[in-house]
Amino acid sequence: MGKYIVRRLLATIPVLIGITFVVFAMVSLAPGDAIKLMLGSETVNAANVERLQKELGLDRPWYEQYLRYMLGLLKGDMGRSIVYHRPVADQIKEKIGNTVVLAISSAIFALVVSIPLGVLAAAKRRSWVDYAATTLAMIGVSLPGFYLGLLMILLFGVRLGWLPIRGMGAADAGLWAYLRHLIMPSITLGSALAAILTRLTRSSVLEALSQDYVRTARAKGVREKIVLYKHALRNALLPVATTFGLQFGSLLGGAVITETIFSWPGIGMLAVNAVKQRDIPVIQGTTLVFALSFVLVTLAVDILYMLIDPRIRYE
Amino acid sequence: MSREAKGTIRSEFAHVVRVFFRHKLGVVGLVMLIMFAGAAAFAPAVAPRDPYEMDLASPFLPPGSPGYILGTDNYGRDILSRLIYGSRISLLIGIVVVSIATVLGSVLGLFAGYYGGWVDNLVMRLVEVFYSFPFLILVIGVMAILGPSIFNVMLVLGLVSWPLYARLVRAQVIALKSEDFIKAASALGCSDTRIMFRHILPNVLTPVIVSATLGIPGAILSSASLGFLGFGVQPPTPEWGAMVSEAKDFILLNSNMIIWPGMCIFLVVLSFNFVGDALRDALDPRLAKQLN
Repeated sequence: MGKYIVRRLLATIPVLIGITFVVFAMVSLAPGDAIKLMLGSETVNAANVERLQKELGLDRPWYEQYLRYMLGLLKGDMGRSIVYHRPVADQIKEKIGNTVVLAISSAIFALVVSIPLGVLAAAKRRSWVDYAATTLAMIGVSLPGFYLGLLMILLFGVRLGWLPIRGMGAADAGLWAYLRHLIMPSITLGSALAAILTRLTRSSVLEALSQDYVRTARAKGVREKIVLYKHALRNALLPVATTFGLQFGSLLGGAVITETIFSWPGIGMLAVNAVKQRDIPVIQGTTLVFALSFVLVTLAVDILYMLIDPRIRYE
Repeated sequence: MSREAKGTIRSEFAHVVRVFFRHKLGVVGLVMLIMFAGAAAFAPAVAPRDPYEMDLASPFLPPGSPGYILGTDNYGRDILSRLIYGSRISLLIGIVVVSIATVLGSVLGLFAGYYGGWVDNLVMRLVEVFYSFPFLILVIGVMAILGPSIFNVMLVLGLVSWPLYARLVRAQVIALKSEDFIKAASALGCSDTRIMFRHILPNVLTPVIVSATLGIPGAILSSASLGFLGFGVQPPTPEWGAMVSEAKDFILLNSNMIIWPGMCIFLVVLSFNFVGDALRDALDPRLAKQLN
């Protein structure tokens, strides 16, 4: 088992190098006048352009730049924001917690909705519950996140006035106020994942129910409830767990949109503002953090997966 | 080709059509897509007004106002006409993006699967790197550098979406490589290129077509999200995502501007998903059987 983990860890190294290289190359990809654009309101003259190029290290050969970039990263240095003249790492540290909270609560929402719904739909196949669940899932996959978010703002925020529509509330407003701010962003971000997992749980449970061990269990007179929850569900949840891990990345991507709609101060909003201001070091930093957390989550899922399902170790 | 072979192909096609049309939601999706495609193709004839024409004297008209079936936006532009012209942009983006991604992905997957070794290793590592970025984040990062335009949206989404197809084709190629007809072709002295493109490629197209159909709505959603964030197609171009983005500034004042463009995105994406599901059932009975 240790061998498997070591191999899995080693396999992430080329991926990490690839990621840092792509992020590093973003600056070089920028068309020549990007430097001028980054100067923004500052006067564009040769001296300023040269100063900024030096600041970004663009006057060096690319491999030297990359090496410097990597060495910096290892020390936790992601460069300085061009707009705010502050270390990118500090800005990310301030905001990342908010994004993590949002991602986790969205994931919880998705799991709490999708698994019971998927199991119910499979257990009562072709009933109205099944049709309702599949229809809801189809709507969930097809509805753009930003549209759902805005529709909820219109209904629950503007029309009914039940929930706050932006930000996370005052720091001293207490837990309940904080949670109230979290409800709509979590549903917005989690709905697509909920839809995907509902479909998957349903088909996965259906498949498990057609297996021989389920027939055996039924034949020896095990109650249907126990067959469903103990025999079928346990095996059916494995693919659901994998997909959940893999989809966590798209959850992070969706955070960019959700945070923008609800002015949720996380790194998604940081990234969007950086793009608007062409603050390339911040764009690089946020992209890198998103990619790294995605890789780490996938890694964790793989290892957990191996602990749950011993069959994988023999591959 | 013998008459008999032609007959088989025709009956196979007839079978696909028959299974597709048995799928009620697939038919609903197809009808809706034909309507959207018609609106896109004949936009100048169908749209009641010029989508860019402003009428500052009558902003925020409600739906059903005389001359403005769905009402007007903040500049007094006709929402319906803008939606009709917007269908051109979304459909174009969806189709171009998936075309770029399928061609690039299929070729890379074909090479990786056929040659194996370091080619395979290189392509698969590349696939892994692409997969390790949250999709939208990567797209936004690159769009930020290249600058927003409809051309860049299509290019970037296309160049980022290929790994799915590469993986798919590679797996199929590896399975096919050991089949007798491939061995026969190579024994007859066919070149690698000929074997790959004439003998293998046609046999892996079915799953590619199904994934491409299901990939179009994804591309449309992504481009709408980019438009919404302001990094995609720019206003005043009537792109649906950009229209929602413009509308969100008036959310407390007027909900009409948000509801319609969002609804269009939803309906197009839903239709493609319906058609894709039906197509999968019709073209790939094995897969469909597994899923149902």
